[in-house]
Formats: sequence, C-alpha cells, structure tokens
Amino acid sequence: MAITRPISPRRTVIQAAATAFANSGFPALKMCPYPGLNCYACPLASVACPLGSLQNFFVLRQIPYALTGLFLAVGAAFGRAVCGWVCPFGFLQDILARIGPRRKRLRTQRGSWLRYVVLVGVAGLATYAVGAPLFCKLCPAGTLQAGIPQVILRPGLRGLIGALYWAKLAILAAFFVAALLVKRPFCRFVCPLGAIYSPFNRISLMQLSVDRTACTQCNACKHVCPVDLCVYQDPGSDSCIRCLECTRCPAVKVSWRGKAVSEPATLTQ
Amino acid sequence: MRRNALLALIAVGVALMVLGGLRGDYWTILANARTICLSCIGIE
Repeated sequence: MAITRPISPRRTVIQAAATAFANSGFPALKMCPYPGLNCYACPLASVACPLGSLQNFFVLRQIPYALTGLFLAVGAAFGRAVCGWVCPFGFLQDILARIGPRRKRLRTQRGSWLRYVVLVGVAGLATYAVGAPLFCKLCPAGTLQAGIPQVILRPGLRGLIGALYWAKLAILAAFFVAALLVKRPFCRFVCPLGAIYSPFNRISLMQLSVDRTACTQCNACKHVCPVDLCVYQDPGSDSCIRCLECTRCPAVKVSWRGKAVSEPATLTQ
Repeated sequence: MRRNALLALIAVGVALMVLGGLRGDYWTILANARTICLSCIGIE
C-alpha cells in the first residue's frame, strides 16, 4: 500500500484553533490546566500550563489530584493525541519542519527515553528537592511565550535579566534550528508532558491498527509521520503522537478499542 | 486492556478532577498562574 489520500488541512486548522484558544487573552479559564504545553506566563495565556502547575504542586508538597485526573482521563481516552492535535509548541515545530529542508535528519527513535529522564529527574525529583520549578527554568516554550514578550512589555524586568535568561534564549534558538532539520525534536527527546501521555498509547481507547495483508512496508507512513515512525513496526509506539497522518495509507486505520472509525479504502487490483 | 476497564480508568480520572476541585486544586493552579512566573521568563 502507499499514501493514497491527499493531505487534509483538518489537523492544521485544529492546531491553529487550539493555539488561538489557549492564547486568546481571556483569563477566566486560567484555573483550568490545558492538556498541552502552553506557558501560563504568556501575556495572552487564557489557560494554565499543566507541567508548570504540576511542578508548583511538587514545590508546595501537595498531591495534584486534579492534574493526575486530567492526565489519566485524557491519556486513557486519546493516548498522546494531545501532542499531535492541540499542543501549541508541537504546532510550532510542525510549521518549522515545513519551512526547513525536505530531507530531515535523525530519522530514528533512539534517545526518545530522554524525555522520561527529564520528567522524573528534572520536573519531578529535582523540582521537589530544590523547591523550584526547574523545568520551567529551561523550557523553550516559556521563553517564547513569556520570556521574550514579558521583557518587551515590562521594561522593569529588563534590569533583572541575567545568565539564565540568555541561557533560555540559547536553548530556544537551538530548538528552532533543530526543528528545521529534525522533525519535532523537543517532542521526541525532551518534552516531559509527552512523557506523561506516552505510556497510555499502548492501552488507550484510541488505537492505530495496520492491515498486515495490505501493508507492503513501503515506508510511506514514515515519510509523512511528524516523528518519523514506521507505524507497521509498532502501531502502539510511545513516540506516536496520534496525529493520524499515517491513516492516509489505506492499510492503516484508527479504532476505538474495537469500533473502527476510518475503514481501509477498497483495494483495487 | 478491555474497553470497559479503560472507560473505568477515564471515569477515575474525571473523579480525581472533581476531587481535586473539592480540595481546592484549581484555586492553587489559579494563584500560581496569576503571578508572573519568573522561572518561565528566565529571571532568577
């Protein structure tokens, strides 16, 4: 089989709408954690960052019941689909991937375990031990959405800029360049929020399945995948962001634990 | 994992979100989100 269905603008429209909603400048929903990575220090943020909030609970030595419930409910229903459909930083990386050279580098999943290290080590244990949100201090999404605009809008902050600010800018610049050359480098190797949703891919209601009799292992799925996955090798991979681009191939379909949604197209000989 | 078990897991998640609301989790999130996070900006 091969990719037979044309590119649909549906996912891009949903990503743009989700980004606009999360940064609509309407602060009434700021008590609600957003499922994707969206910095709440952004001047236009209308929702709370779940990772920043989670770290804040660790700093306060409190159990994050509501956030645990959010991750559990969203993860069990959709797996990592949040990354593919509503995460603003993922959307930005998708755009950068289109701008950069067509032939991308690092088309492997090696090193994807790093995001679990960042989640447990930096956003978890180190944050709890130090009593400060350590991942926020490094987060490139925070630099882009809060660091740059807040310093422009609030002149009083400019006198407080130090080495950390320049380090954050350097990290953001590095990820910008990397996202031009590698598909979604932050999501694949660093994002601790993605690491929270990743294990749900194997058990979630939303599943991908490959018709082994129709699949010719032509690797067209890997070519269109935003994280360079061969879906026929492992449809439940923890790196999959459930964007459903691979379902443009008739051999791949999405199902809801037994209830098929997108049936494979009729095979012609 | 069976479909019913997954639906139960989602229900537990929703219940935890409600429980968190009763314990004041959303007010804690709001209080944190309202302050300008200097860590996010990159100021020590």
